[in-house]
Amino acid sequence: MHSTLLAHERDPEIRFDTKKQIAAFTSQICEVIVGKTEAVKLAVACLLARGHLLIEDIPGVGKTTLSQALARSLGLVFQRIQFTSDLLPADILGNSIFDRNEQRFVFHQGPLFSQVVLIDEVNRATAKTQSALLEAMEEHQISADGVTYELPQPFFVIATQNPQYQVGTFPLPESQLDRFLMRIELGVPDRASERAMLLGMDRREMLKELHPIFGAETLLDIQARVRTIHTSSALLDYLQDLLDASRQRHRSGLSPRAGLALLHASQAWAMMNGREMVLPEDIQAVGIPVMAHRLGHDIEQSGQSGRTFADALLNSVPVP
Amino acid sequence: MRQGGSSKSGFPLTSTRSFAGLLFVLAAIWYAASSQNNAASYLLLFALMGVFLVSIPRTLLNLGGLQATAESIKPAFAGQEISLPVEVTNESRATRYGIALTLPDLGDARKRIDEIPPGKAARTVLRFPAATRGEHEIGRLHLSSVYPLGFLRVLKQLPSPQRYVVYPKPAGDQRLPAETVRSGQRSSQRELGEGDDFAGVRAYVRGESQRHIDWKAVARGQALMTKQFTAESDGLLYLDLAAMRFGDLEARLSQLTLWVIEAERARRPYGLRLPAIEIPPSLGEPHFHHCLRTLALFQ
Amino acid sequence: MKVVRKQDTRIPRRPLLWLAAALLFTLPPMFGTLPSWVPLLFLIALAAKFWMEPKGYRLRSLVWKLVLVALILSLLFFSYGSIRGMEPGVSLIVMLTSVKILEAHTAREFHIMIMVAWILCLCGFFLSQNLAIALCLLIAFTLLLVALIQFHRGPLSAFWSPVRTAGKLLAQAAPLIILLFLFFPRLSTGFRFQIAPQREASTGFSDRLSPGSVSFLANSSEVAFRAEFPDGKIPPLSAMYWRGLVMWHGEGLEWAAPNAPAALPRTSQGTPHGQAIRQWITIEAHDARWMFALDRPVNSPSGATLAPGNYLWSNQPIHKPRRYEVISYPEIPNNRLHSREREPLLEVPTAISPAVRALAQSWSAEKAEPRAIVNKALEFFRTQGFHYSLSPGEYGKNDLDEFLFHRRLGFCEHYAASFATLMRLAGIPARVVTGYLGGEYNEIGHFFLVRQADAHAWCEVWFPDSGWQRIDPTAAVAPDRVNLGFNSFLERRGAAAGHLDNTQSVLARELARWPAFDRARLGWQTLSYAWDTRVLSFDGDEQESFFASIGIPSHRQIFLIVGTVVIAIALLLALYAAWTHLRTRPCGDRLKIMYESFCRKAARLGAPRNPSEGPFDFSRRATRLLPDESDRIRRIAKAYIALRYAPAPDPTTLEQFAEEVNGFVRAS
Repeated sequence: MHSTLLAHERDPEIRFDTKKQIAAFTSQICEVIVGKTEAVKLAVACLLARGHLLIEDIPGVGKTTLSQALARSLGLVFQRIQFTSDLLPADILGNSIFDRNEQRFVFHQGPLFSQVVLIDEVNRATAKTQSALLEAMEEHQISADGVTYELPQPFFVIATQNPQYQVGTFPLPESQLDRFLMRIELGVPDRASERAMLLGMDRREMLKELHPIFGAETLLDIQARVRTIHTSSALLDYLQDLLDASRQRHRSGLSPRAGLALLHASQAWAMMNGREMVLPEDIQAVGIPVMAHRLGHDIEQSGQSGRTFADALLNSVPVP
Repeated sequence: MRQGGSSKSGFPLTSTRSFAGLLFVLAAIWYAASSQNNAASYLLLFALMGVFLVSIPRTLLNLGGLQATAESIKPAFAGQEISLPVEVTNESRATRYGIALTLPDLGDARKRIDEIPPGKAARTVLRFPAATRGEHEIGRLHLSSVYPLGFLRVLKQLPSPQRYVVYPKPAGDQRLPAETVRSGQRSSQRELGEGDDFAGVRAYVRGESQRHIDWKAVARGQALMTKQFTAESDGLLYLDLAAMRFGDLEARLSQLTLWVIEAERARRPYGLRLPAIEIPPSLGEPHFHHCLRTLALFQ
Repeated sequence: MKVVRKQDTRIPRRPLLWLAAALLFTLPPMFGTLPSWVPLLFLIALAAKFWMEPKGYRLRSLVWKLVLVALILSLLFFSYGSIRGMEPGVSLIVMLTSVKILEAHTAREFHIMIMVAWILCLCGFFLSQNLAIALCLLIAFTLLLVALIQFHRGPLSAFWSPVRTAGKLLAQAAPLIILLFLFFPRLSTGFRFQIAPQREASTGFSDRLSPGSVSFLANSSEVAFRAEFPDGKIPPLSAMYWRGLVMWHGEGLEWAAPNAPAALPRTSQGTPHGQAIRQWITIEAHDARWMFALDRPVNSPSGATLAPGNYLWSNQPIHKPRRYEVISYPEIPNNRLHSREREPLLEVPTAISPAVRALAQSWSAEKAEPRAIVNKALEFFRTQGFHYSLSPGEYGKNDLDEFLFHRRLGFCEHYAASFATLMRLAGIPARVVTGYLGGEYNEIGHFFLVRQADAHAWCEVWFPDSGWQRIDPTAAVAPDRVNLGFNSFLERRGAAAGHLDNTQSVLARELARWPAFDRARLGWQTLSYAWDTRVLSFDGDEQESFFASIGIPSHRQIFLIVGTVVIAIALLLALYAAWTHLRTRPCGDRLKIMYESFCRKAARLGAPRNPSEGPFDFSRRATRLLPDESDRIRRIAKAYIALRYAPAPDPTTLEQFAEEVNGFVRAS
């Protein structure tokens, strides 16, 4: 493949190794989530870019399987929280409980103290719980009773929500959607993939057989190296053109944080493709999952979804 | 001039109607000046000529660095208006004035953009009537300008491969079929939803009658659900082209379109059956557009 | 059938404002030259338009339009008696424009109105060509440009920005205008339309010297002509007699010049004496044929003849300012006068009273020597209580008695006419010369400005030994008139006699004492002089001499010149276009330019790059579309990506990239 030719030759060995590792990681997950290579790759890119992932899809397409597969392949601690309307912030963050023996309050860590957290139906919890979660996602720490607790590293949240509007849900506000690096849709598998799945092993069995490809240490190392992927000024021009165009066309365009998210995601994408620098194509590849949910709010009023708008943006802003 | 990948042919300058007026005025002044040997009149003649000559390159360059991008077009029903949002970007370092956008293949749709500062973009929406159903192409998009003096028009043709769909005109006097057809073919989509997700419940959708809400479920602390979930399996509304015995094809398609709209409005799940095409019953915006699109493209 | 959709094409307000301003500036030449109701109605129409426009009114009905046009035609007919000729024509155009203003409301009519306004500018130049009018019309012209620019720019822009654009346009056009002005062939069309000189010589000279005809001019500050002395030899102000017409035919207090000077007998002349004085004279249009030169011209400029009596006579009426060079000598001896020449010079009207005859004969009887008789006559004027006055009262043609013996109050024409008549009665050949005396020196432009107020009349008598000799009887009565120049003379006299008591001239005199104002006035006169000499007088002949001076001798080469000019203009335009192109091209480095040329070539080969397509995607697509060139495209894309997006590109890669792109672009 000629993209390898283009790669910079600084430390070919490690780079090559990393790429192979990531590829192995991705393909292992793809074995479990059949026919969703693109979504899996995006999820991996999101993980590598140190971002959180929002999966918006109908039940039963494998959201949980995907997150579990990710956690297992990384050898990370995995927790799943089902959000409901009566869930309180303390239920996910943890409680301080009075210990009679020690005569003091002891903090009992909640399920959020985990490396990979799957939040099911994130929009069912009240705004209070949501904001507690999102604060933890953003800050990588939890404050309870005046004490700050660091969350484990790496920390990766996968949240799911049902796209249909339902009574009793609290749609995530625009500002909080922004905390998710990407929003992806898994979608129904195509016919052949579905057949493969129907014929194949039970997914849950398969999950148990997954072995960690790289551990937490390696992941942190790769995450750190993603940020060093080179972004030339021409590329930043393009990125800024996109941001400007989104701001010109709509009342609330992409925020600076969205720009940063786009940059990090495209860096991760470039690394997954074994490149030492980011190309406009990388931005385009991750553009829709990164931008669509950030643009959705304003546009849905005019009958266009964020997805089509992000698509139009990528198709109309010229590459400088 | 940057073309941005689009090629164009022919000399881009054409004269406008007022150019003839200018020629007439020039000729009149020349005649008067030369017959009277009047130097001041000659000066007027030369001033007019000079200004006109200097305005030629200005006119020519007034489209320099302009890029027009047509965005995606929302479908419309025949007889309605199609809106084409166009964004014109000024990549040059000078402000551009008086830009006209036209669609030469689509009648006299015309929009004017007064001013685009350097490095900025202007958006406008071109409107033109949606004539017949089907999928059409925009064809060409013309950028033109007569700035500054209006004697010459500079034209830039941009091939615009944008396509748009025109749904059939909703018309007809038949009522929406009341009885629902029992169908052996049931959609198997719902069986997938096993697993850890919430499944098997049909969520309440805003706008539905509240009488159908399953209040018991609500009492259990669950979300609102409607009883229609169970009613749905009773029978399915299929809108069938072959079942209609009146009118020509277009009239029947129009009738079907009207029914699709009515069914969607009444929130009755509907399917569509055309020769060689079948769309299983469902509801919702994507389904609605899918059906209309199918009707629009039906040959 | 195409259905024309009714579009909202009303003229936006701002262009209309600019247009109205421009139309206002076309008005000044009409005042004073056309009947005053013409520009007034025009103004009313403009005002009405601004009243009607916001209300949506306009002149719609055809009947009303026809009625208006008929009304205008009849009004014109009443005031002119005919609608042929220039001024009625201009009036008609102005009035029709007024109707058009009331009627116009669409964008197309806006353009028509702009065109009409240009024609009005042209009409303005036909009515008057002086500098003030020209400046007004220049402003009108610029405002028309502004109106057009504003119209095509839309209502968004800042208020003054179209003005700036129009200014830039004019400034850029200026070299072109100058080139065209110098080189555009001034062909005279065979089908010229004649404009009857309808202008009355109301303020100006005439070929009759009747009592009051010169004093009538004394209040006119209009410019008669301007004179420059290129050699720097400037005669004293008191000797600056500008010779205009020579009047041979005396009728007492009224004298007349012959209609056709060529009919006069040609007299032989000796060689001129004294210092030759070269002058450049720029004469204002006066629609007659006389021309002026310092006393006395010896040569005639082109287009004019030197009439016997040593004055200049133009071959054509002077309808526009004209500049000519002439050489004068203060003295030309002419000591032979044939008897057939002498006879008409002694003719006197029979109606002259015996008292006057007796007076003249008393002098000639006393002394036979002509000079003694002249001195005697001057003595008479000096000592017998004659007064020089601007308002001497009415005199008839035969009121010589009244003037000489009773009232003894007169202006220069009275003295010159009576003196010449008396000389003829005394047997000395005499004639009256009219022209101007003195002038105002402009120290900025180094020229003399001679106004109508400087008009003067004096006498010439013939002495057998020296020929014609200038005698100014006015100098005998009021020596200051000759020595100080007319304005200073008036000022001194006016202060005492209270002639010029009206506030306007008091104000003007107060202002004149203020040095800055004086300098401004002189500067304006200089400009105006330059306008007349450099611009207005540049006609076909001047052009030919200009061509000769830059080494293009004959008229035949005119087409060569025109060709050169056209090429020069084309070059200038091309340079300008290139310059603007460079300025407006999106800023991009060499790499980007080369990549774009690569993309253009690829597009020609059938693989156009989508503007939003990245280089890697494009190369993949292009290699699929152009399999023959796939290797090269791949190499180019690789180099481009490395150069543009990689952290530290190798400088040699750029050269490789350039080579590859060149190879690709040149490949067929």
